[in-house]
Amino acid sequence: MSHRNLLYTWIIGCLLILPFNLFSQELYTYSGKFELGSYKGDANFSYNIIENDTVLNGVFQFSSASLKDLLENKDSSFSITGNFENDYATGPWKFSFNLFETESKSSVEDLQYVVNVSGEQRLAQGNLIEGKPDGTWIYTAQEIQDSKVDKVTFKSTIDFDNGIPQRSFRIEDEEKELVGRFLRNGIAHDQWTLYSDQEIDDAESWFFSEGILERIRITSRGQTINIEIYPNTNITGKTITLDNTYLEILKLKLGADNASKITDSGILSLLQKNDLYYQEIDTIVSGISKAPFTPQFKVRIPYFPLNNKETKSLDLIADYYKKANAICVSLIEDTQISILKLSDEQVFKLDEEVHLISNKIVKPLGQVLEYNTKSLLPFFSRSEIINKVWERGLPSLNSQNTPIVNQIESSKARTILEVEQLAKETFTYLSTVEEILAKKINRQRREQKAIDLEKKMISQLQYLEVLEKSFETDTIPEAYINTLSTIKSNARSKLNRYASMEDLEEKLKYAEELVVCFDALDNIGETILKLPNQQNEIKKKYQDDVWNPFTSTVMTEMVKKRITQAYENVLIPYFLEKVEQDISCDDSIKWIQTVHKTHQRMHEMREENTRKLEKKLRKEKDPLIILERFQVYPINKEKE
Amino acid sequence: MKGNLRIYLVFILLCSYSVQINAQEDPPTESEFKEPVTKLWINTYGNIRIAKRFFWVAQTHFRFEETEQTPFVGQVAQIYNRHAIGYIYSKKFNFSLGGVLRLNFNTDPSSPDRNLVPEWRIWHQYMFAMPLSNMMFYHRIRIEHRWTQDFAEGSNYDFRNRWRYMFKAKIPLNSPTLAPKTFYLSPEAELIMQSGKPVVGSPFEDLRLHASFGYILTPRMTVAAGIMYSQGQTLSDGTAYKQNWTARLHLYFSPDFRKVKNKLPSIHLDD
Repeated sequence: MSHRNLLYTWIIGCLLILPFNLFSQELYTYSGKFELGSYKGDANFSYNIIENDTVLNGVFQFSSASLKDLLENKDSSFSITGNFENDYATGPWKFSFNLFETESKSSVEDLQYVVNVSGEQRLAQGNLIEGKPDGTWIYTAQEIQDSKVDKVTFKSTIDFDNGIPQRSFRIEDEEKELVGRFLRNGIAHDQWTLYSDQEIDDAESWFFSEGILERIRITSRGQTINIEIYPNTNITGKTITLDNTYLEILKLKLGADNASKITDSGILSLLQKNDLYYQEIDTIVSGISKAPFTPQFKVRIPYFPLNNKETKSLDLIADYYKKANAICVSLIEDTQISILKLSDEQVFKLDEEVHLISNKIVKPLGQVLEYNTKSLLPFFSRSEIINKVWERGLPSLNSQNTPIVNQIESSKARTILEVEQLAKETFTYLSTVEEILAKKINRQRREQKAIDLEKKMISQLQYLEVLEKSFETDTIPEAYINTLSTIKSNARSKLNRYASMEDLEEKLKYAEELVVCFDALDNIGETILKLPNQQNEIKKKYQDDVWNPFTSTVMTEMVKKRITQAYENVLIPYFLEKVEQDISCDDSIKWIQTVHKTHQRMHEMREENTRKLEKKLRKEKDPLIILERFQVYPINKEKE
Repeated sequence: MKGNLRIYLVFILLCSYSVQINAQEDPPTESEFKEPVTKLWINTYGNIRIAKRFFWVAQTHFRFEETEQTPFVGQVAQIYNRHAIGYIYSKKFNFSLGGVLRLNFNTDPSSPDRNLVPEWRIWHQYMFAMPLSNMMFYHRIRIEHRWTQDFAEGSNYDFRNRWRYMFKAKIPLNSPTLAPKTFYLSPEAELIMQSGKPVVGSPFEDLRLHASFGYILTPRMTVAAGIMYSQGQTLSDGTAYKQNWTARLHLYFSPDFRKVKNKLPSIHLDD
């Protein structure tokens, strides 16, 4: 071997080893607990670490099954197996979702316990290339009885080419079978036909022309209905995925009557069910693979994109709607209005109008906005959507003195701007109505308040009468009864003044004052009622028991007579006199406090050394001086 | 002095002798009631509290007798000064012990004897109180040991005992109880018996029937006025009964000069 040969050999050797060097990142294996979305279980997979990223490579297994759960109740198990290449799900994949229970029958076979299970199973299998379905994918839902397939409840078979459905597909459940086909670009084409066990011929057919659904034919009990969807195939369309949005568009397109027909449609239900199942797999695959697993059933549909003006308009409509709806809700739910409308004709009329506006304008406006939120608007011409929401055409408000909803006139409105105008007018009008009704309600609320206050005042007055009566039954000096009568007649004259007032605002204000005042008068009444007892109490307090040796009896003797006399003969009459002089509310509180304080001082002075005080009280008849001598000051003085 | 004494003794003996002679000669068959004499008594009764259970009795009585010109308030007959220390045993019983100085005035204008002689007594009394309904009843036993003498110059002191029992009621008129500002009626009967050497056939000294009308000003001050009929044997002649109609004015006062703190608890005693 020459040196040249050696060099070639070395170069060839290096070239052979190079790929291993280049791609010889270490392959790790994970085996353990794994969580993917809502699925939790045990996983086995291999991966590389490239630039700190986990890159799945090789076999992927993820499953969960609990024997304990199965034996005890039910086990919700799953099993996902597949393969990854550079983080893309690639190769054969199999998904299995089970909900099994067991009848606790078991047998031993080849040293293994065998337990039979029953329940539901959903299986999906097919090939993936870089996360996208490729080749034939079969999704099956079946019922299992004693570990055997009892019946297939759903099955869809769809051919894909790099995620795009191809050729014909088949979706079936227990009673129906849908057969349809796609163009090579995945766009629905030709006739999609549903065969039903209950119909001899095809039960339902959707006719596509390069993605555009031209019509639907439904046969039920020998009757055939043709529903035109997009009969004009020349329309400009937009290619979209056949998903829930498309189905929503279809429903809206068909209108309320026809929509109900296709709501029960077999094709629609099968497509929706299939969509649901595929989404489940999509959720799993998208979670672990770089590319999403999205079956691309394509359709074409007329498209009318929203321009800037319309978008702005829709924003304004949303704003007006929000406010108008709030007004409607608050007015309709207002119990005061509900009561008031029974007696007030204007309120009745306005309330009717609010209901009408709410149903005929505000709620449809909300519907338009809902369509916008669901992104359905661009798939309809404006006039079409307006006429769908307002079957009789866009209503208008007659903005005369008696604005009412014009229900009959079928306007030829075709633009969002006109809807915006209506929304604005509606909001303005509702604001006015709200204002009018608010005043009415406020007045009624005020009147109610006045009634409550009046009730309160009357009960306060009655309380004074009760006090007076309780006086009469007792052996109370007449002076007290007279004072109480004076208080009562003062209160009555105040109430008369109140009754003669006309301005409701002023009346209400005065009533509020009177309630406070009457409260004070009631308190005065109570205090006066207590006075005779208090006097007796004081009298007893200032008595000494004295032994009279000449009678051999114990006699009571008044002590500190000047104090008790000043209290009884000067202060008490002074208190009563003050009350009779139409005492004000503020003074009422002071009066009560002075009386209480005096009583309290009388108790205290019994124990005090009052010799000097008694001297000073000699011949004193001025109540204010006596109060001062007793150290009873009006509250405001005391604070000074 | 000795001569005077002899004369006095001779006089007494002669008198006794003459009585005996009379008795022997002509024993009386019936009593003789003298004409009633009108009198006025102004009595002050003081009960001064000196301790929780002790009080000082201080009574001063001014007793007037009719003269020919003036009934009732004629002339001063006696002035009493009665003092004692009393003990309050309970609300229903108290007793007192003390002395009396009575000044006796000679009411006989023609008498050549002394105008004023003193009389000394030791007295003790036992007072029982009985409440009944809204009234009060009292039993009073008073025993007096008295030394009296005549107006005649050089008279000796005679010792006698007086046995007195009084039954009295006080009936409130304008109030449920005997309380300040109450008018009351007070009927009273007192029997006074006497004993002692000088008492011969005349133990019945006095029967006093007295009705008064009083007003309780305060627990410490009461005024009353009444009329009293009394009769009794004269000491020297058991057959001769003297009679009196006495107008009586009473002032009762019972001050308590103790300090306030000592008064409390005041008089509830055993309650």
